[in-house]
Order: sequence, then C-alpha cells, then structure tokens
Amino acid sequence: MSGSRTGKSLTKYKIVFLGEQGVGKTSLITRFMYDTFDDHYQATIGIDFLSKTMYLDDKTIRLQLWDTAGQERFRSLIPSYIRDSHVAIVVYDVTSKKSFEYIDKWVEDVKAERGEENVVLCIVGNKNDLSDERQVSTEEGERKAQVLNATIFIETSTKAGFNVKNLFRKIAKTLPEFQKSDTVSLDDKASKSKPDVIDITTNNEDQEQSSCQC
Amino acid sequence: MDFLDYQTYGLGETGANDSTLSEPASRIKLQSQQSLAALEKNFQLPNLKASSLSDNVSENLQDKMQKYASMSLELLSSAELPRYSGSDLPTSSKGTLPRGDNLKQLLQNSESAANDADLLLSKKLSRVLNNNSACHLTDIQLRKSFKILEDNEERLNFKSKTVVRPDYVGSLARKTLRSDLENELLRSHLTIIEEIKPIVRRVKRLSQPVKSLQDIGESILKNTSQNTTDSNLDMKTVYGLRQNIEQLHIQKKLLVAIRDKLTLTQVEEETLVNASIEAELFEVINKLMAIKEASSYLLSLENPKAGQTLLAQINSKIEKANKRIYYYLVNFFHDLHSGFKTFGERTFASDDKSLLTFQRSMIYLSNDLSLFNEVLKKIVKLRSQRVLNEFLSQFDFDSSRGSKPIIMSAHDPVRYLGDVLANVHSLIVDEADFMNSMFKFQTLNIQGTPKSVLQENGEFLNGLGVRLLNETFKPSENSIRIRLEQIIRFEDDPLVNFDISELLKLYKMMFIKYGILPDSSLIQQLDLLKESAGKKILVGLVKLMEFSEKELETATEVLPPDWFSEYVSLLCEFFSKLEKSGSLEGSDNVVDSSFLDRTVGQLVSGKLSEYQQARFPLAKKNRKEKIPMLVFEINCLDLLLTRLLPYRSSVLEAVGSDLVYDRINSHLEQSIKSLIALETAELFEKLGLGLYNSLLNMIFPVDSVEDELDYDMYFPAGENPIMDKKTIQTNVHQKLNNHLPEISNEIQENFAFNIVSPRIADRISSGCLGNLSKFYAVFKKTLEHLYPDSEEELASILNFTEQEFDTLIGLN
Repeated sequence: MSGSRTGKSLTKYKIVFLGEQGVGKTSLITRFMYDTFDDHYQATIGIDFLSKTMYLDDKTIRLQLWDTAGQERFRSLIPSYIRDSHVAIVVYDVTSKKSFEYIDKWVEDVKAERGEENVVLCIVGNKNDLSDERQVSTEEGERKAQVLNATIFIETSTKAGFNVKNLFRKIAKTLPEFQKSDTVSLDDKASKSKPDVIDITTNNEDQEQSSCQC
Repeated sequence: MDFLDYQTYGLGETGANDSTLSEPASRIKLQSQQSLAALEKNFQLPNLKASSLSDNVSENLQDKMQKYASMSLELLSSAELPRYSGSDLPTSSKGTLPRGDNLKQLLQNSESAANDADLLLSKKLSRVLNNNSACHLTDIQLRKSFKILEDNEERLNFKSKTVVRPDYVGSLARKTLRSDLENELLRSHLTIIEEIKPIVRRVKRLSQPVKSLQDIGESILKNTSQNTTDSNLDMKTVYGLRQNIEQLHIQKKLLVAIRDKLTLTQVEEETLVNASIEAELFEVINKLMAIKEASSYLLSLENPKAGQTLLAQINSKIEKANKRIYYYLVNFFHDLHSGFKTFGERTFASDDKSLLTFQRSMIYLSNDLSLFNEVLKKIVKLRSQRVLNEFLSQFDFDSSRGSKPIIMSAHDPVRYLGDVLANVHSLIVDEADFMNSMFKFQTLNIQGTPKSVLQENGEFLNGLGVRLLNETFKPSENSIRIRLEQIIRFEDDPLVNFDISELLKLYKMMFIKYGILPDSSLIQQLDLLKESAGKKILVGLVKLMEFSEKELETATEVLPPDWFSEYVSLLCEFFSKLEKSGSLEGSDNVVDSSFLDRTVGQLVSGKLSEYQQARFPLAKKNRKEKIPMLVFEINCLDLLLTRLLPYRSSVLEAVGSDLVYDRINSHLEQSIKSLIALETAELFEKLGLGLYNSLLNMIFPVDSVEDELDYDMYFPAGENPIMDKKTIQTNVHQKLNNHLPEISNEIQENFAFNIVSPRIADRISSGCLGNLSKFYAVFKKTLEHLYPDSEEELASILNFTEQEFDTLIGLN
C-alpha cells in the first residue's frame, strides 16, 4: 500500500526567464503552458511563478518557470532567482537591436551566479513572425549564442506558436534526467492521457525547423 | 417419462393399455400387382357408345364419367380373378394389414383405391396422430423429444440409420432399442422408488399419530357438537390468537425492516473493523451516517431511549471508523514524507487512486473535528519541518547542491535580503503547489460521498490548502525574521533601508499572491520589518543633518556647508529612488507629510538656523555680521529649493507636502528682502544719505511717495538742523561725488558676489540701486520743496540730476 501512496518519482527543474522589458518572456511561458497568446501587453510585477509537470521518455519532471520582470526597478531581485536555477533562458526581441545588445549583460549575470558549467544557457530570439520589422538577423543571434557559449539558440514566435514546444523539448534533452537516453522519445499516448501534464511533442518538428527563416 | 412405443404405430384397433408388444410390420409384398396384371389382360372396358347411356345426351360429362366407372366396376366384379395365395398374403397379426380372401374383399374394406402399402402407412400415421393425445404428447413435445434424441444421438449411441433400416439388421436394432429403452425406464423407476422409500417409511411412521389425531379430532368434534356454548368461546379464543399471530407477523416484518435500516450486517461490521480504507469502508460509513440521521427521528418518540441507545452505538462505530481513517491519513503522510526524504519530491496525478482515497478520507474525517485537527497538526508538523530544513539548507555550504549558499554580504545587504526572501518565495510556491494538489476539494467529484458532508464542510475544506500553507510557514517565521532582522537592525544607510523597505513590500505582495494570508503572522512580520526599515530611513536622514564642531570652526565662506550639500544630495537621491520605485501612492508608503516635515522642514527651521547661530553669533547685533549670514542663508535655501524643484510636482505633491516647498521659498524671499534692506542702508551710509533716509522715512515712507502733494508731508523735516543746506553740503556732496561712480561695482563685488544664484544676486543688486535711486529723487525734490528759492545752490549740492544718478549707478 505504501508503494502506491508515494506517487510518482519527480525531479524539479528551475527555469528562469531573463531579458529586457517587452521581449515576450511572459508570452513564451503562456504559450508553453496554455498554448494561448494575449495581444494586450501587461508588465510583470516582481517575479511570477508557474509550474508544469512534463512527461517524457517514461519520466516525469516538474518544471518551475520563474518569469522575471524586465523593468529596471525589479532588476535587483533577479540574481536571487538565477542563484539556484538549472536553466536560464535569455530572451531578446528580433525587432529590437537594443534588447539584443543587452543579452551580454544578462548572460554576465547568469555566469556570475551560476558559473559557466552549472547552468543550461538558452538564447531565444522572439517575435520571429515580425519579419518586416526585423533588426537582428538569425546569423547575428547564432553568432552571439556561440560567443556567449550558449547551449541552445532558437528563434520563436509566441504569437504564431512557432518553435515554442521545440525550445522546451531541446531544454529537456539537456537536463541531467534525460542525458542518459540517447533519443528522447515522447510518449504521445501517455502524456495525453494524463491530466495536468503537458505534451511537448511536435508532430511537425521538421516542418517547424525548415520553416525557420534562417 | 414420456415413452414412445414404436410398435403402437403398427397397432390396429388395439387400445393404449394393450400390454402385449406388437411386432413391427413386415414389408408389404406387392405380388398382388402380378394378379392385377393378369386381370388387366383379360379385362375389357365397357363400350360407352354401345350402352344405353349414350341415349341420354342431356347428361353432363361428370354423370357420364360416374356411369362409366360403375359399369366398369360391375364388369370387374363379374370377372373371374385369381385368388391370393396364402403365402403371398402378409402375416396375420393384430393391427397389421386387414386381410381379405380376394381383391374384391380388399377393395370393399378399403375406402381408398390405393394399394395396400399406402393404406398401411396411412393407418399407422393416423394411429400415431390419434395416440398423441392419449400419450399426452403434443406435437411440440414430440418434436422436442426427437430433437433431443437427434442432438444426443452420439452420446446415447443411438443409431438412427440402423433403426430405420428395412432389413433384418434394422429389425434387430429396433428390437434392441426397445429393450434398451425398457431397461432405462426400469432403472429410472428404481431410482425413483429408492428416493421415495424414506418418504414412505416416514409416512408409515406418521400414519399412526395422524390416525390418533384424527380420532381425537373426531371425538372433539363430537364433544363440541354436544356443547355449543363452549365452542363459541373457543372460536373467540382462536380468532384472538389468530389476530395475535398476525400482529406478531407484522411486528416481525417491522423489526426486520428496522434491523435492515438501523443496523449493520455482519459483513459490514467486519468491513468497518478490518477492511482497508477503500470504497467499501466509505459505503459502510455512509450507511452509518444514514442510520445516525434516522436515529435522530427516534429521539422525538415519547420514550427516546431507543434513539439514544442507537445513537450512542452508531456514534461509537463512527468514532471507530474515524479513528481508522485518522491512522490511515497519518500513515499516508508519514509514508509520503519519508518518500520525499529518500527519493525527493513526489507527485500524484489528479486521478490517482491513492490521492482520491486520501482526499475522500479527509472529507469523511472532517466530521470529527478533533481528529481532523489532529491530522492537520501532524501534516503541518511534517511539512513545516521540511520547509524549515529547506530554508536553512540554503545557508549551508554544500558543494553537491550546485548553487551558491546564501551568505551575508557586507557590501550588499539588499542582495542578502533578496536571496533570503527569494528562498522563502520559492518555498511558498512549492508548498502552495503541493497543498493545491493534495487538498483541492472544490473540483473533486467524489462518488458516493454524502452531499451533506461536502455541503456542511465544503467551505472549510475548500480553504484547507491555503490554511495549511499558512500554518506550515508559522514555525519557520522566526528563522526567517531573524535572518532579515539581523541585516535591517544594523543598517543605517537610509537609501539601503529604503531598498529594503521596497523589497519587503514587493515580497509581501508576492507572498500574498501565492496564498499567504494578508493577516498571517509571516506578513505581519514583514510589515514590522518594513516599518522598522522605513523608520530607519528617517532616522538615517535626520542623523545626516548633524554637523560637527570642527566643521563649524573651519567654515569661513558664506557658501552652503558640506554637511548641508551632502544631506540635500542624499535627500534628492532618496526622492529619486522613491520616484522610480513607483510606490508614491499607497497607504504603506514610507514617505508622508510628517516625513517631509522632519527631513526638509526641520532642516530649514531647525538645523540651518542652529548652524547660523553658531556660525554667525553676532549677526543679531552687528549689521555687518548679519549680511554674510543672510547671504549664507540665501545660498542654502536657494540650493535646497533648486534641488527640490524636480520633485515638487511628484514626491512633494504626492504626499501633500508642497507647502513645505512654498514655506522655504517664502523664507528665501524674506531673507532676500532683508539683505536688500541691509545693503541699501549700507549704501546710504556710504553716500552720506543714511540720516536723511531715516528722517524722511520716519515722516512718511519714501517708497510710498507718488505725487507732488506727498512731498508736502516732508515740510516738518525742514525744522531739523540736519536739513540745513550747509550741513547737507558737508554731509552729502563730497561723499556722493566720491562714491557714486563706483557704487555699482561695489555692490556687485562686495555684496552680491557671494550669492551663488546670479538671479538672486541681480535681484539684490537692482533692489538696492532702485531704493537708492528712488530716495535720491525724493530727497532732491523734498529739498526743492523746502527751499524753492535756492535752486542753484541745491543743484550744486546734489549736483546729479535723477537721470544722471541712475546712469551712474547703472540702472538705465
């Protein structure tokens, strides 16, 4: 009986979202969590928290998503959250050169808190759908990610829902829980049949990648 | 047992009770066909045309045919036919073919003109069909019997094909079948007899008592018929007894119904005591609760003892069940907790069976508040222990954890506090997450749970997660407070204290967002710490107003002292932070009107004048000492106002303290006016006009002179000896001519030079010169009024016209 009482094994991973104001950190989380997009911008106050159980490769992990405020007055809070994070996602807006330039500062903060090795660093270029207003090319983003030694670089569009699941899939692949298995096979049925569990499989993964405007 | 006797189908007129078994009919021999052929050979059909019948033309074809047939039969009967040989005829037997000596006889006996085989078959069939009713076999039964026989053919080893064979083998098989059937029948009869034997024995045994009873009955009946009155009485008794029986029956029914409704069965009792905490037990509890509800009705009876007893029993059973649930819940949480310790955090899917059982148990236990609270206490104890350990572990150096420990940083106390609060925030959201998953009853569709429980305790149960979350953090509050307080208590920097205050305010908001109640002690602790940090801002700022004696001794200039400049800079930096924090509005703002009174108002009216008194001790007595004091004051106030100006419409207005600014401004105006008056008086002295200025102002203020008539006011001045022309010549002329061309430069260099603000310096300069110009004009005109005949003399004494005077002092 006690065996059934203990529930399922669960490892928690803390993911912190960083970036300038209005780059789409909250939208990225909302798209991942609820698969929705809100046109109305509302600045995050302080630090927001959301958590989601992810089932993949016969393992269940709990992602704790810490959404930081981009506003200057909340900057002092952020290092305390980077301190014990496993993954840092630095988001910039492809239509804002300034937000791109600030990546260095954010990455510096991450490295100051977690060092070079203890964190999975992701650089995400958001608003990929606004191709007419683009100020930062994908090549620039890739180069920057290489220079900053980022584990993952990806361009997303939270409005179009492009590459968001893919981002979290890539992140999951880098987590210690899944490093042992060579291929991460996501069990569709298992994940869909469970409540409160997000399915991050992407049927059109290849399509998504090929449609990337790289 | 229905038995189909094959031979009965071959029987003639034999009854059903014929015991002799008939043999099966032998095959029909058709030698008669040969004799018929011979008959045919010698037989000729009558000629219809030749007969008399042909005369009757009117007859129809039917009649003709009938006639022809009767004629043919007559011919046939008259013809000599060979006899059947005895051997050709079928064996004589009962129920078989009817015998005749010749064909005629055969034809007479049989109504049909068909052959004798057909006759035989038809007879047999009719017999079978007629006997059906005698054997009580309906068609359906018969068909069913055949069907059964057909289905069980193999099992019974019944060779149907052999039985219906026409040859000897068939005949043998039929005979064997019959004997087999008889054997079977006998065996079954024997079995029945064996079964009946004991019954017969019993009947025999009972026959004697029954007989005696019968005799007694008869004798009683005889007796009763003799005495009718006695019989009437007895019948009444019988009726009474019968009524009693009926009542007892009803009572029994009632008691059985009550037993079913108000008591548990043995199985249920067993479930209550020994079954695991699962649906079955909950069903029994449901029943107990229903019984409890029903027993409450019994209390309204005249004698409530039954209800009370039942209620007491049910209560004790429910209590037992609740205790079992209580132990289950405690064990559940202990298992969970030890699981956490060994394997880390665990999770349950929302449809997990054990989670649902746990939640259902919680709902049922909520009926027993004492046990329920006991469980909650245990849960809170385990969880709070975990929270406290988690909280404290963040301060330990543990290389395996992969993250830096929270260390107290001397140069960044805000970061330390931020780390501590972020750690608490993390724990709160974790715990809230856990509590929500475990104690989420509002969306729970628990099958079979009595609605009354959910309705009565629903409100209480729905807020349980939040309540437990708050309870869980209570034991950790002290540790959290100590970690925060040790920084806040020793921090003096008002700007840092402001940051701390803002941090606490923000975390208070975030803690409340994730379930910590606004009136919880954790929030109250944060409020107290925030208040303490807020107070320290004021204390820190006020402390900065202090100036040292040393600074006072070394001060020589009329510029604002260092302490003043630093203080104003810090104040402005603070206002700037306040403005950026966006927390100007709100009831819990650290800055209010009293704060500004203390930090700004007190600075001007308190500290600055205190400093002035110390710095310029002779200012009240000595005019020369007073001028630098005023210049110093103007410089300080101007600096303060200039620095505060950007915050006038934001910070000062938001806290309703823009009056402070106005007050300082009017103070500055007053100082400027005083300085102008003092410097003007100084200039008059220099030009020798001081006494005259005093005299004229005593009679009528010079500033108020507007028209010619006003000059008449000064006629009494002529009586004063100083107004003598020669005296004026002596006192004024030389000084005026010596100093007037330099007066403008002198003002700029000596008086206005130390004023930091050029605007104020200019205002002072032009104020002094304006006063001088005005007095010169009034004084000259007054003298002209007093001495209208000495115009030339006066022109030589005051040798500058008004325009020339203004030009020389630089007013034009």
